[in-house]
Amino acid sequence: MIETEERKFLHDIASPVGTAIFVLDMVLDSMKNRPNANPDELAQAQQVFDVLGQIKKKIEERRQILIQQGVPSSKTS
Amino acid sequence: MQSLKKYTILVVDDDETLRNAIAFDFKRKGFTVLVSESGAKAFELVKANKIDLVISDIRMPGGDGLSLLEQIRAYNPGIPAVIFVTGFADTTEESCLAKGAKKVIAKPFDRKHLMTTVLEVLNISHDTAAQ
Repeated sequence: MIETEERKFLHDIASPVGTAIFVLDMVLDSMKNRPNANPDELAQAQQVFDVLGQIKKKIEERRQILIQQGVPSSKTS
Repeated sequence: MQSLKKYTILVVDDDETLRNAIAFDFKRKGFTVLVSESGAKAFELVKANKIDLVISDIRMPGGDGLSLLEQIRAYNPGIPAVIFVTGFADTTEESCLAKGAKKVIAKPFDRKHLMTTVLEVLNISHDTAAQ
């Protein structure tokens, strides 16, 4: 299967973005459960999480476009 | 919490941060968790332990996820596997399912989606998991 530069780039960033989202989600849960949680820090962490969510969404949208264009040719690769 | 300890999950990913984070999350939930950074080492753990479910990345140095799926299916087809793909590399969701994967999850994925998928594959109710 042809591996375009764009696909390689998206592949390379999908994993670290996923790792960042996963770990930050755990940190957020932990912060929310602290009785003395700093609301400002919590809000900032939530903002970072939301931004990562936007990146995740962009990757998913681009994946769908590439799938519709047949690059890659399979549904998920 | 105690009821989930009987389930052993093997987490296989060459990304140490993600591997350890997933392991931590499932341990905190009450599962027993083993980890491996490659498919080859993971298969050794499969042979040496009673594994109830494998969570594995697809692209790894030292034995990829597809090879691991083939080995698991030949050794014990009753062990379900949840496979991570990025959606941009060579391995397709279809090829993972054809090799015996129970579920395929695209990276970047939602943490709660992974937990829900694992509970579903292991037939564990959310009520049991929440205890």
